[in-house]
Amino acid sequence: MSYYDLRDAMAQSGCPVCRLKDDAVRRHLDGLLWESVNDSGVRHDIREARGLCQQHAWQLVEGGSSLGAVIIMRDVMQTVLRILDAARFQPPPPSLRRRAREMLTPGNPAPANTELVAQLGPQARCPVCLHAETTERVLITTLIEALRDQEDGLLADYRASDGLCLQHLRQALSLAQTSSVFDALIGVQRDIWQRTLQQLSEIIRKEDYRFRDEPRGEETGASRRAIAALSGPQIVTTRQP
Amino acid sequence: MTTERGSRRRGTTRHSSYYDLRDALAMRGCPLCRLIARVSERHLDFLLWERVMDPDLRRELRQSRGFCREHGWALVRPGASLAVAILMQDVLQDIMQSLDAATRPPAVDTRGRLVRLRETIGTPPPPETAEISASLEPRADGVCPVCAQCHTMEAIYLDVLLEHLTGPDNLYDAYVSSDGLCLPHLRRAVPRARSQAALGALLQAQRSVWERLSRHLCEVIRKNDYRFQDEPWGEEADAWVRSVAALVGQSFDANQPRRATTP
Repeated sequence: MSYYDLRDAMAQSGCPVCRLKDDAVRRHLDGLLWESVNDSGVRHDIREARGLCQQHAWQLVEGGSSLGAVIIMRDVMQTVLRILDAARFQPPPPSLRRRAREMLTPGNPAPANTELVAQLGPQARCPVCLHAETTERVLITTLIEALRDQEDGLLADYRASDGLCLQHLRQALSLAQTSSVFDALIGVQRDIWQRTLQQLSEIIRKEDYRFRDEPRGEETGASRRAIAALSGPQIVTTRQP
Repeated sequence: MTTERGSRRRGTTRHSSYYDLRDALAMRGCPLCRLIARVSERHLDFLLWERVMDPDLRRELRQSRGFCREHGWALVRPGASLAVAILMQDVLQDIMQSLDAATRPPAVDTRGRLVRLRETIGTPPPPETAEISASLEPRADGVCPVCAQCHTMEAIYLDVLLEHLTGPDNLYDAYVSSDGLCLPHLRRAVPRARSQAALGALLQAQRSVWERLSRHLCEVIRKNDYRFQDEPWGEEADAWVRSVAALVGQSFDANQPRRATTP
């Protein structure tokens, strides 16, 4: 299944793994809201993670309010309130080293209340992040296998796409076990980024007063493509207050 | 932002950060998230309009392999296309050079005889992928420059907040009537508390804020019950959004007013 998903995603803009990972996250969040709110295991995982991570928590409510999201958030909030109820002040450990550190870096004092901070921190990873990482691994493994296949491979689709983002290229490279896959990854990615570089140069050239009247071509949007390639895809959440 | 504004009262000195905090506490959402959003906006403007040709910034960006995801996309703003293109071109070029350097075969073959024999009779193994993958990672101390600025300002604001939660003209009441800190910022504030009084005030105020929010969430749940669903919505209407902001923080437009929405 992921082979065909990858092939379709390569025909669209942006890193195909980012796109499919985002789809998987949205489906997972839908499942969480409509199927698993009262699942004690799921609630335990979310409490342990002290809620979902920032990105996934905002994605959870981007479709509007739901009773499920409210129940989940209240549960985590009650957990955190219980920790606050039991909180006691714990000074930083008295030591010469600490005093020296505070004198040298006054803006970065030795931490106090370490136990409370640890309790307030996530005791487990965001469950949606874990799901996203699993999906990511499956997709990258599928891509590597498809690049190994000479006949029904995805090399042509990969070459015509916007390529992988930097993060996913790193992951793919670490899984490439043969020279042919490695060469395909590096060769194609280099061509794609070379194209982006030329387009960026074209944007810079057309900002020059001598060429600014020239019509814009395929370099339009190259800055966005470069940001997506280096920093990952844009997170669009509509519900942020 | 940390310069003294010159207001001295009863022996205390107020920094402009104090007034920033006081103003942010009067608005909706976590005051630190709001202030850091403003810091980030101003710093991005500063980078884009003043420092694009600064070799230090360009070196920092090459080391961090560009901006983090949040600040990378925050670069996209009207009139910034040239600056963004120049910065991105520089980082991409550096990455391409790293790729070239990592994939170039060594001038002298230092591999053992066994490895070379295996290559002549079988499929050649891939080059050192771990090394190449590492060459694409941010280099040592390479942190998104906007994140670095935000962390510095965050520490200053948190220290000022903790300092002014107790004593005369404190911000305690303003804190209690605000939306309080979000959980990530509370976690960063707690280790900076240097006294029982400061920590006690912080946790007491935060508890009041979250207990109110928790009551609002209960009210949202109650009004989803078919028996009470015709009751009009009150101040709990947007508690579902506030609860997400309280637990994970928010990256919002610092000047955008929040609109209450009925769930």
